[in-house]
Amino acid sequence: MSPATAQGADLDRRRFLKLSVTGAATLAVLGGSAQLAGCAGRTEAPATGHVFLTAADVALFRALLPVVNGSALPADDGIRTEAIRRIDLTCAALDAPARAEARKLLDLLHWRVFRRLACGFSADWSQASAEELNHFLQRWRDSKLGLFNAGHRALTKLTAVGWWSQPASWSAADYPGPQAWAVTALNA
Amino acid sequence: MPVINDLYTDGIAAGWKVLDAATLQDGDTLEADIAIVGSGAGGATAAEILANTGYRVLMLEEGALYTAAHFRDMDEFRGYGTLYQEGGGRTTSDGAISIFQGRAVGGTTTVNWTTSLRTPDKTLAHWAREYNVKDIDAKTMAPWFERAEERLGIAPWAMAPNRNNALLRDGCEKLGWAWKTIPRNVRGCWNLGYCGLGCPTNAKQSMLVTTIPEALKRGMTLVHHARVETVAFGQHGVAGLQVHALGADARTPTGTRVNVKARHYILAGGAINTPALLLRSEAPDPKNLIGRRTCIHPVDATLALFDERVDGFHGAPQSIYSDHFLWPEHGVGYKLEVPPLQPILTTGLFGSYGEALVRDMAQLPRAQVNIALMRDGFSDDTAGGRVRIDDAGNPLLDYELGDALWHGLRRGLLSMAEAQFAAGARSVRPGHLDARDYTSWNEARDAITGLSMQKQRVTLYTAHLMGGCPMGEDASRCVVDSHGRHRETDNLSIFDGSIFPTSIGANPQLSIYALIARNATRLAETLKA
Repeated sequence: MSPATAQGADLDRRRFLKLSVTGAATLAVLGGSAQLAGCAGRTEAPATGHVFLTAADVALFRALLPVVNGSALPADDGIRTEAIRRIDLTCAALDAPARAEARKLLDLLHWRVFRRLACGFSADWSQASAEELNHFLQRWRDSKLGLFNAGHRALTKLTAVGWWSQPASWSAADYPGPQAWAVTALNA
Repeated sequence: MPVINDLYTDGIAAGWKVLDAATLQDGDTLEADIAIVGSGAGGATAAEILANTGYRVLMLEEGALYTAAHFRDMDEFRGYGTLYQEGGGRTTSDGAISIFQGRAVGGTTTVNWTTSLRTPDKTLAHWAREYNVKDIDAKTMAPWFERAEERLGIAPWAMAPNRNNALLRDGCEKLGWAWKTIPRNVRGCWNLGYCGLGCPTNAKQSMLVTTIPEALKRGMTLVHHARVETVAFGQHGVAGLQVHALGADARTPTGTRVNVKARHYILAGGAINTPALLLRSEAPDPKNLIGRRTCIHPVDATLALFDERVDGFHGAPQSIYSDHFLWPEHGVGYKLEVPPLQPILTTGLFGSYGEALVRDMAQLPRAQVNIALMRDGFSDDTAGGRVRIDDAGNPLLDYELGDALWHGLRRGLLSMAEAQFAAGARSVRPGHLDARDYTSWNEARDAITGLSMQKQRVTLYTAHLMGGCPMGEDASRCVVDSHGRHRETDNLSIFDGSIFPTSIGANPQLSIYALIARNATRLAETLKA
C-alpha cells in the first residue's frame, strides 16, 4: 500500500473515531460509504483452498463457531473445517454487491479499534474469550442500530449454516434426514 | 438404471440441443426466430407454445442445468447453493429481507413449493380498473388457468396434509376462519417434502420436466451458463443480445462472449433480473418506470412448539392456506400459509444463537411455523420497492416498509399466533429479535402489540417477486402493453412476473403460466401475420 493511501486511511479512521460516539458515523461506515476505501483496500487474498474467506476471516468464524452453535458443535476439527468451507461457499455465492457488503463487515471486524468500540473487546478473534464473543453477539443483537442488528444476523446465520447444514448435526436437531425408504428407492 | 429417468440424459442422446455457453466459440453469433432470456415459469411457458407453433426458439439461462439425478440427496446445502439466486443468500439491498428465488434451468419452478393458485378475481379487476389492462377479466382468463392446470397436473392436494399444514387448518377451524386445500402442480408425488431443493422424482410439474423438454423435442436450443449482459437497442428495436458465458460455478465469466440475433426477443428473467437487464441496457423508458413498484409479498412468521411431533420437514410443504385476512376493509391484507421446516431454513426462523439455539434445534420436530404474506402494491402507501443497478450493472432491490405494511405485518403476527394457540401450541415465538416464547394467547397478544416493528428486528422473507415492468394500456404507468409487448420497442416482449402491476395476493406461478400462455399464443399469431 502506498504511503498516501495509508495516510488517507488513518484520516478516515480518525474521522470515524471522532464521530462514532454518536453512532451516526458507524451507520455511515457500515452502510458502505467511501470512508472505508482505505480499509477495504487492505483485504488479503483468500486463504488457501478458499474462494472468499481470508485467513483472518477463517480465524473469526472459527472463533464464532462454538459460540453460535454452542454445545451442539463437536470438538472434531474436521467438522469445523467443513463448517468453514461451507461458510466460504455461502459467501462466494453472493452477487458482487452483497459480497462487497460482507467484505466490508469482515474488514471492520478485523480492525482492533472498531472491535474495542463496537464489539466491546479488542483481543484478536482467535484469542477472544467465549464470554467476550457472547457479549459481542448480544450487544449487536440488542443494539438500536439496524446495521449492527444486520451484522448480528449475517454472522450468526452464516455460522449456524456452517454447522446445521452438515448431516453430522442432524441428531442434535432430532432430524432424521430425508425418508430412508425414499433415499433407498431413489438411489437403488 | 436409476428408478427416476432424469429426462435430459436420454433427450440429449436423442438429439436435444442443450449447450453449455462455455463450450461456444468466442465471438460466435447464435440465430433464431425468437430468443428467450430465462427458463422459468414465463420463459418456458412461452417456449413451448412458440416451438409448437413452428418457430426456431433459442432459450438462454444463466444458471446451470440440474436434473432429478442431482436432487436425490435431498440435501439443503446442495439445494440452496446450486439452485437459488446468490446461493440462497439473496436479500434486499439493506439485507433486511431474505429473497428466495431460483437460478437454474426451470428458474424458480425448479425450487418452489408447488402451490398453484389462480390470480384472485379482485386482483384482476384491480389491474383492469387501475392500469387499464385489457382482456384480463376473470371470464377471459378462466380458459388460460384451465389450460395451465391441465398441462401441469394442478389439482387440490388429495393426500392428508402434513402436521405442519394440518395445524394451520385446525387453528383456522377452531377460530371459524376460512381455509382451503392448496392445489399443487404434481403428478405421482411421493409426499417427501423436499420440493424446495429440486424434486427428486420428477413429480413436480416444473418447467424443467414439462415445457422445456417439450420445446426441446420441437427443436428448441437451450443454452445454459449464458448470462445476457445487455440487450442492444438500435434504430429499429432490439438489434441483438450480448451474452457472457459463465464457468462451472455459474457465476464467474469465462471470457467467452457470443451474440444472439433473432426476429423477436422475450425477456423472462424474473422481476429482479429483467428490470436490471433493461436498466443495464439503457432501454427506452420515457416515463422512468422500469424497476419501480416492485412488489414482494413481504412475509413474517411465527414459530410454535407443540407437545406432539409435527415433523414439518417431511410431507408436501404447502397444502393448506387461509385467505381469511386477505381482503380486509381497511389496511393491508395477508394470506396465511406454512413453510417446510428442514434444519437450515428453521435456524433462521428460531433466530437464536448459542445454547438457546441448541435448545431450539433440539425441538425441531415439535416446531410448527405459520407465515403471513402481505398483499403489497394495491395502495399508494404500499407501492412496492425499486430494482436498480450498481455501477457494474448488478441488480439491487430497495424495499421500504411504511406504516401500512408494518401494521399489516403486526396483524399477521397476531393472527398466526392466535391460530397456533387455538391449534394447541404450548408456546409461540414471533420472528423478531425482541420476541421470546409466549405461553398463552393473552401473553402473546400483549407482547406482539408492543413489539417494535422495524427492519432488522423483524425477520422478513420474500419468495415472490412481482412488478417493475407493469402491463397495461396506461402509457404513463405501464412499461409493456396488456399482452406483454414493450411499449417502445416492437420486437421485444416481457413475459415474466415483472409485468404484474401489483402483487397478486397468491403464490405467483399459476398467474405467470396463465398470463404468459395467453400472451405467447397471441405473439405466435401476430408474428405469423
